[in-house]
Amino acid sequence: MIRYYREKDISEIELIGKLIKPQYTFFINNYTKYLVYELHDHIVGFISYSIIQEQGEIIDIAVKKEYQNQMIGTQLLEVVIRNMKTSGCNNITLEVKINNYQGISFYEKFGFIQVATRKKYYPDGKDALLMIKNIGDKMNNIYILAIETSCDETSISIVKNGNEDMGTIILSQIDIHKQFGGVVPEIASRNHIESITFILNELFNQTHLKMKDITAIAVTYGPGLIGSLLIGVQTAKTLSFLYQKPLIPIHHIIGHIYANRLVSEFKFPLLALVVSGGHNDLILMKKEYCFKKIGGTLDDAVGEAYDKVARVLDLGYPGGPIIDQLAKEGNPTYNLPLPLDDDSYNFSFSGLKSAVINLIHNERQRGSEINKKDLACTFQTQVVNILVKKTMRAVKELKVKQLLLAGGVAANQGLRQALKDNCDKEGIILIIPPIKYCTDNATMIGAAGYYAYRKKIITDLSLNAYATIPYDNDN
Amino acid sequence: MNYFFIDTTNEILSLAIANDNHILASNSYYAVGEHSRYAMIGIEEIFNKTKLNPQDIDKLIVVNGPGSWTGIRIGVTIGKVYAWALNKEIISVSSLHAYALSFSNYDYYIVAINARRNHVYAGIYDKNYNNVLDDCYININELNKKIDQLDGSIIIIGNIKINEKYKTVPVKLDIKAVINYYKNKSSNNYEQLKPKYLKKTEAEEKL
Repeated sequence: MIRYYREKDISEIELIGKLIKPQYTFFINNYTKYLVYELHDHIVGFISYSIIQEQGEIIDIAVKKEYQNQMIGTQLLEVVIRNMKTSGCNNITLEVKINNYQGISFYEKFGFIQVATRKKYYPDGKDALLMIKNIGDKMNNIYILAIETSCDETSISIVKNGNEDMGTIILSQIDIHKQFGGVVPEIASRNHIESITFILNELFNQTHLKMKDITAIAVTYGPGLIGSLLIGVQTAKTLSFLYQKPLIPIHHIIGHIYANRLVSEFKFPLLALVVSGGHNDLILMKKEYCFKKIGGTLDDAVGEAYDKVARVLDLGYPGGPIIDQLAKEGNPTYNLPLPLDDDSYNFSFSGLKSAVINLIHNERQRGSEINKKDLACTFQTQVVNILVKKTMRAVKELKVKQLLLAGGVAANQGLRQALKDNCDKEGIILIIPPIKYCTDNATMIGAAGYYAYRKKIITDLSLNAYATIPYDNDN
Repeated sequence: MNYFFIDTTNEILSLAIANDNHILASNSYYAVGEHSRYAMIGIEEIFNKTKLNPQDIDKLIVVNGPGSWTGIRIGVTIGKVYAWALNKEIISVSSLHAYALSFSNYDYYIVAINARRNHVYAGIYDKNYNNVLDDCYININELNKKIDQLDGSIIIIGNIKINEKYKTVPVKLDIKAVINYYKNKSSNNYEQLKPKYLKKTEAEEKL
């Protein structure tokens, strides 16, 4: 029979415990429980476990040698899983020695999956494998808590099954950085840390979800401003440790691509054009969560060129939306060079940017007025033309089924319209996320996090932040 | 009562779990620029060593600066998120005060941390460890003038020589002394726990 332990069982428990750990001692506190398997007045096996804040953990399970392979361990574990279900636990975790293959396959039979390794967890220096089994009502749904702090937006979101935005909070610091004409990294970091717990609190209040409902935590770990990234990474690691949740590292650009998943299914192969203040990449995806960079910028990202041109024209910050608006009202009357137009998929915008700046200086020196609307229109026309030209060539040459647009510059009306017209002509499906998912947000990190989780892209607590880092995983 | 201590404000990362009488486990790493990588691993290790759960901690004691700005934010982020998540009491400790508390038997403790450009982050404490000069960002010459006015036995603790008359004793951290001093002090709300930079950013100063 299976029953709770009594005082008199302790010495027998310790004897059996020594089979699994030579220094085994009986250990109990407010959260730990022991169940024993009694046969003919003797203890032949036991299981110890804990339930803390609706989080179940299996601590040890051991059966006497001569009683092994008699389903005793199985029965003990079944009772505990049932107990944990009735206690309202959503998942059960356990650590098992990395080379205990018998143990690992035993737990896998019960539906435990491997989520992380704990370095040097055991006294002999061996690593532990962290395994988890979902048992709650929400067991079929995967909820990702996602954190994004790579630049000047502090954002946290909960995303269900990779495509349902349960709630997202974004605090933009744009008004703070406006006065400096651009993002000041140290000020961005200082503001992230001010608001991080406030946002967590708001998000859980709004969504009526609890940490126990969360399956895993995803966080942007690069590229971006290192000081800013660190706030998000540290927050994610702290929550991962406190609640024993898997930790998923997400590349910022991959997040931008997966913003599209919030509005559409993916059909492979597909091509993604990621354009923002910091990025300007063409990425080929042959299957889910596989990325190959086929082109990028050789100097400025397109958003960066917009900001610099806007600054010289005294248009304010950020420059992209302002130039986009002015361009609509003007005509392409100025003479500007077309940016890098070769047979690669790479981009270069610094020449165009310099040409604009020179043109403005020359006109000013001559004392003639610059027509800002016409100049904005000429600049934007050149930018859009080359982006569309190279992207559409890649679409045709690589025979992709879908084209995804992503990143902050995906909000640019001129670019959206030109790509749409071209894709319609070619019969290619173009997907563009709504504006709110184009600029930096944690929802997209949650969407990417879901697919990373399904691919078991999980890291441990040594995760760090990186200012630059590649994402290619399909060579 | 169980206490969790963290200091990530300088090049040595210090972590500890203590109860009322003892340090139960502690970790320190010399890891310049690597606190982000090691802090959580170190925390996991001390919890494993003590067999305590994060829930078992009653109060978080977080050193919030002055020091490395990036470093400060690592400890403060961990503290704030921990306090929010598990509804824990949290209290912030000035790094300068923590270093002063690590020495004894002087009338005055002067703590000075190099802040470059002939400036230091400094505080002056009396024999009861109360501030005589509030923690501040100060020109070294100005600090020396204040030191000259002090009457009694003094010690200068820090990482920079500031005075010809006295040598500077290197910083050390007596975690037990810090915890003993702070364990009964009233705690902050986690939203009030802020990094103590003591200096505006360059961009703000130029505005």
